[in-house]
Amino acid sequence: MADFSRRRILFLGGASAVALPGCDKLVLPPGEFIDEIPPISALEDFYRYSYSSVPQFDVDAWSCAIEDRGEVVASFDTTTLAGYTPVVFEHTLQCIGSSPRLQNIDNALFGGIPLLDLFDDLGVAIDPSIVELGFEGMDGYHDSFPIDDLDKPVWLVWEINGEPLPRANGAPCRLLVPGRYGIKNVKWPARLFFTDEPYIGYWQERNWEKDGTYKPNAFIKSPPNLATVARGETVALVGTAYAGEDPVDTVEITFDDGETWEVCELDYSPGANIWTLWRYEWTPRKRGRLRIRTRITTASGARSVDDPGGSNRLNGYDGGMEIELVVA
Amino acid sequence: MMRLLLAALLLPGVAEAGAWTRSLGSYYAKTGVDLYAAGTYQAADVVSTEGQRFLGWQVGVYGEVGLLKTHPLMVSVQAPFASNTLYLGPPEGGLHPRATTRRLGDLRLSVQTSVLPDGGPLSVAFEAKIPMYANDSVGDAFGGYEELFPLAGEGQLDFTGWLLGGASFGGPLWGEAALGYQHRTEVFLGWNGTGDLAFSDRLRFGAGLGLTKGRLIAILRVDGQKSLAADDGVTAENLSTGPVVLFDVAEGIAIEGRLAADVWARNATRGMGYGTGVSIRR
Repeated sequence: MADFSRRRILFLGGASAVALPGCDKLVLPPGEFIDEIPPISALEDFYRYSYSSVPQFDVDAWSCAIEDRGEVVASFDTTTLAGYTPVVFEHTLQCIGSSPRLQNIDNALFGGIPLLDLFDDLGVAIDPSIVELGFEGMDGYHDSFPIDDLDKPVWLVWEINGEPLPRANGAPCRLLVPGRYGIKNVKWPARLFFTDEPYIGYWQERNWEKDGTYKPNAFIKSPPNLATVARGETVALVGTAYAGEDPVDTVEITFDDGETWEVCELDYSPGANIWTLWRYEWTPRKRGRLRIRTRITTASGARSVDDPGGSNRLNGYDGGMEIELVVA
Repeated sequence: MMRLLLAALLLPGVAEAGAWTRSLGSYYAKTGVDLYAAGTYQAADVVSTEGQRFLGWQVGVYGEVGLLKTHPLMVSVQAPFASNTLYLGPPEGGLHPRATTRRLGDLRLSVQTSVLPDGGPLSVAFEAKIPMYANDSVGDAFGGYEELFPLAGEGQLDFTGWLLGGASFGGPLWGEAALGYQHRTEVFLGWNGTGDLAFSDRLRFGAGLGLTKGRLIAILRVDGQKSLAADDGVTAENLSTGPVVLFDVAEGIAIEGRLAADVWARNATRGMGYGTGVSIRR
């Protein structure tokens, strides 16, 4: 078995001994410049990402079982949910697989109830021996999170931006787990199960991080990478920054590979569990190509890593995005 | 950083040579083009990329020649040039966003000898797969978009030992089978890797049932590879099947065509392969 951590790499001038130069080609639509990012993502733009396809099932026949160590102790369905008046709150979701390429992060107004309230109403008691709440979706996806998260609280939601949750976003309902990437926020729940030992979920079986806590990260939404900007004309650099429950304190930007950093303006930064939107008005003075990189620092002092590619994507992106621009 | 490992290797390995080892002066040479298409993309440790399509093609040369007069011993070489395109999503503004990587592929060198005194169709072979590309250079010229580009291959030096056997069933029917053990070395050429991926040794296998009738040879093939590690989440595995047809257009010159469908795949894209080429043999 080959182990990359123990690998031996043969570099001869940075390339394989027999490698010939290749020719790579990238075709992208003309990059879109935007001046600002709306604080609340439009429903049609809210990212949708699943390990498989959207499951097809009859919502009217749907129910979600609640199991305690293998025994079904309760269940709920759409009739149950209809009996509640949803609490509306703002929340940001980010995919653990998001990256500068796939900026799967969005913010919305969700409507739902704390999962603990539902448990209480259904008479579900949590045994002191329970360490995690596991879940399985109608698509077969499964994972878990620590039982203590329920006190945050963990939300069961069925509305988004004042509308019923679309099927692709998890209808009839989904979980929102503050502080943890989307992999812990199951869509289309088929069963929730209490377990007295750590559970290994679908992506953990594939070496992705079990914890799934948000890492400090920043994306540049505009200008698009490799865009051309005009010398002497002011252009808005705008993007997102997020670290889950750890509020973003500052977003900075460098034009000289980290030798100096400029502080960005925070257009929108409500606090924990909601993204920060930042901007930097920049007037390029010299022609040529240059790289622009971001970094964030959180209220707790955590900071994105220097490598714009992140440190280990299996734990979630933790870098500050870098773009290259052409000043003409 | 997300990098996409290509598992689709269209040209088969040493199994192409078959169980019959060539004698001195006998040769077979082929050049052709292979296409591979998949509606979704899945590779080692990569989140399935819904909405992304994959299209690869490669041109290559393959040759085998008998070396000894006293005993069937032959060498074979396979050298492809590959183009791999990942379609990044639906068309936008009239353009289909896509990233294409073009590189030389994996060079395959093998030595095969018959284990029967009369040179019959039972042989062993040793195959080396040598990457001829530097994955570290893939997409390097595109700044932050580097990670969009599919890698040219796993970039790993591998060795495979093969046992190949064949038999005539009387009349026009014949068959052959090959079983190989592939050792994944820890030597990577021109690549710094993507993290702590651990590729496992694999069992490789192939079998064909052939029919020779006049100037036509038709073969139904099954080929595959299976990781030898339990709960392997990264090593590409697949099982593909499809027909191969050779038609002699002149003495020793044939047009070849093949079709292969992945009927099962794990940690790898599941798609369809098509190939055509011209071969010469003596």
